[in-house]
Amino acid sequence: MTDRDLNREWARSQIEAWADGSLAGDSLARMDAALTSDAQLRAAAERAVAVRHALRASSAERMPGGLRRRLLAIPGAERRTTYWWALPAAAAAVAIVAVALALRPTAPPPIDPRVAAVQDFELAMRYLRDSASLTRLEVSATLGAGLQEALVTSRESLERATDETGG
Amino acid sequence: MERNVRGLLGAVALMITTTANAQGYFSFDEIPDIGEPTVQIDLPPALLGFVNEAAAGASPEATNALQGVEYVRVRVYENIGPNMAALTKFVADTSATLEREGWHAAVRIREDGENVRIYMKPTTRTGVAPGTLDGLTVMVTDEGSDEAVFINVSGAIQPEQLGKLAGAVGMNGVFNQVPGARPAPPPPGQPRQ
Repeated sequence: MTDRDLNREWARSQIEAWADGSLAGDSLARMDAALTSDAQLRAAAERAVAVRHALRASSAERMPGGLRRRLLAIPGAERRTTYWWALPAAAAAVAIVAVALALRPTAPPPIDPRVAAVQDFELAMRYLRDSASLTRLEVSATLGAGLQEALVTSRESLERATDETGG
Repeated sequence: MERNVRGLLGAVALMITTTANAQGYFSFDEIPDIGEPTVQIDLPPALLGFVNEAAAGASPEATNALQGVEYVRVRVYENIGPNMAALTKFVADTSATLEREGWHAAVRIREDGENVRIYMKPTTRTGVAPGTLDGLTVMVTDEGSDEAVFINVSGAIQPEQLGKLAGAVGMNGVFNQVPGARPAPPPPGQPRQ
């Protein structure tokens, strides 16, 4: 692998960080240089920015106002007097909290928009394929040979999948 | 005055819709308000770029099939209940509209409560391969499984390649080979097998 390849690979791994503005210093300069010299990378970066804007514009998952207020209302650390007799109780409390944290359902990791796009596309194609399977051979005579073959191909694929999965 | 403005807005909206349909884009905005869809997929060019990138690393055939595809959208409704009549009417009305606007009915099936329409819009663009479509729209309502599926793919579509791609997805791993891209879950209920 050449230095150029390595640099390109590094730059691709930094697209999201670049798009959200978290790159700084040497990394930012290196990324800017890579973007200048690589049109494909630039296009990918522009798409990342576009997705970011689209997600930001989406109102689907806003944090409830009440939750935000409660989070902001959590007081900062205060200086407290240590009562030695309270240590066992505190230790027990810490243990309980630790167990509770260990048992609580973990939040799903954030989905990479690129992965989500591929998954969505794949699901869309599955629906297309499954819809084509309903047509059997009742395809209109006006249908072009291309689409007819497409539907037949899709249908055969579905039948193979059904056979393989026993579905 | 207000009526004039409304009329103008209506005309503009109609022009936009007509133009959009002429380009192979089918508006899902007219689907009757029967609640949130179970599946809602909107892949505009920016997101399809990611799919293109993934395909480029996996299969030249997939890249060819994707070339020219500009928009992919899917809506799936389940547990429709008494709203099925409204959806069936929507499919009938939309079919008439699409046919008026130059879409060809490739498939029409209506039997046993199952209503399948596949429309294609032959391209009006110059300089593209013969057989290219501007749009492909699928509408399925199924009273048996109590669900409806709407799909629209627009752009400059090579139907044969798109069909092959749809057939290959999730089978021999067009996208399964892409790092980080897990196979999509099967459509809910797998009602179409």
